[in-house]
Amino acid sequence: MIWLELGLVAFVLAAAVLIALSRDVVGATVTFAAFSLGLAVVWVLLAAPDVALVEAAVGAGVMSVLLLVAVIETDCLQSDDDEEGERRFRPVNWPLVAVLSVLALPFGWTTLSLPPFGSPDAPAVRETYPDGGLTPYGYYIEATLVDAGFSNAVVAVLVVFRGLDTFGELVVAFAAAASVLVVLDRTVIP
Amino acid sequence: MSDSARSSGGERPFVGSPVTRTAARTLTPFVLAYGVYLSLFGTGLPGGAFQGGIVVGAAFVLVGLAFGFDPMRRWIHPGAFAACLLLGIGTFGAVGMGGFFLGGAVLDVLVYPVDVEWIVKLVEVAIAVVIAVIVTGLAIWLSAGVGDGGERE
Repeated sequence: MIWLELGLVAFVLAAAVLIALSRDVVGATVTFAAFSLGLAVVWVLLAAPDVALVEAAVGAGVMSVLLLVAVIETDCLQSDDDEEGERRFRPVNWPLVAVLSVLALPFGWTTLSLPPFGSPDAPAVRETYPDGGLTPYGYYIEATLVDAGFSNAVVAVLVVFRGLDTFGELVVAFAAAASVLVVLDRTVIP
Repeated sequence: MSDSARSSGGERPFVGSPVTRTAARTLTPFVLAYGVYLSLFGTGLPGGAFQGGIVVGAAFVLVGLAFGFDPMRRWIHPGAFAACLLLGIGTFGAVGMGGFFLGGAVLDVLVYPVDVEWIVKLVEVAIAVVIAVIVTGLAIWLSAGVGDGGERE
């Protein structure tokens, strides 16, 4: 199994580097879809099917289409500079890599201090604190089955226990759609 | 950019391909069914309204990709988008206010006299409709560029 995971990580990393360096905009978009699909499989392996569904549908599906639409609408299909048309990759922007490393290294360092994957002692999946109180995990797992009566705790938290957050989220999405309509100067109410 | 250039979207290279069209024709019913399934049965299985809505939206985007976004924009009345958006948010808001009038807090769905799961399913469908409409709308509006161009159906 570990080889499958390592292979997937290598695939995702290679796809990310290709996207960053490719001069071919459409090719980079398609590579982005492959990147998202690889990431979705990684989420499945990490036992996060909800996130995997969104990653596959948004990242590989809708985002690629929106990027393609943007490429077509902005007419940047022929954006390759002709003087170096032979070269298929951009030169690496080393100062940018240095800046991003300053961000990425602390994050990578933090992951080393996390409990191992699937550890039953991880703070995120313990039902009680050492002093006996219920953690949020323990409380919601308990409350989902008792109060809501169905088994998907994520949906229960979203709708039953934190409905205000979800409603606000939906209103934000509505506002975003309205803003897109305003920016694009379109009328949907006849 | 003129409108004539934009409305020639039906002849874009990747739009007319029989492979894309056949794939879209074959896949769309399954994708749609899966999206509805995710929204309705997300209470007991992995999934939920946001996932289901995005999958349904992706099905519409797939149809648009295969058959052109411009014909699709003509099929779908622009008012339908606004109606679905408002209907979805209104349903969620009405369910939330209903909890208040039944004696609980606003958005408290536990006070309804029916099984909570049914209320949650109703809210999930409302959320899924909003998400699906936004995803579909983004692709359709963005592919049309800026402005109505006077073509009001």
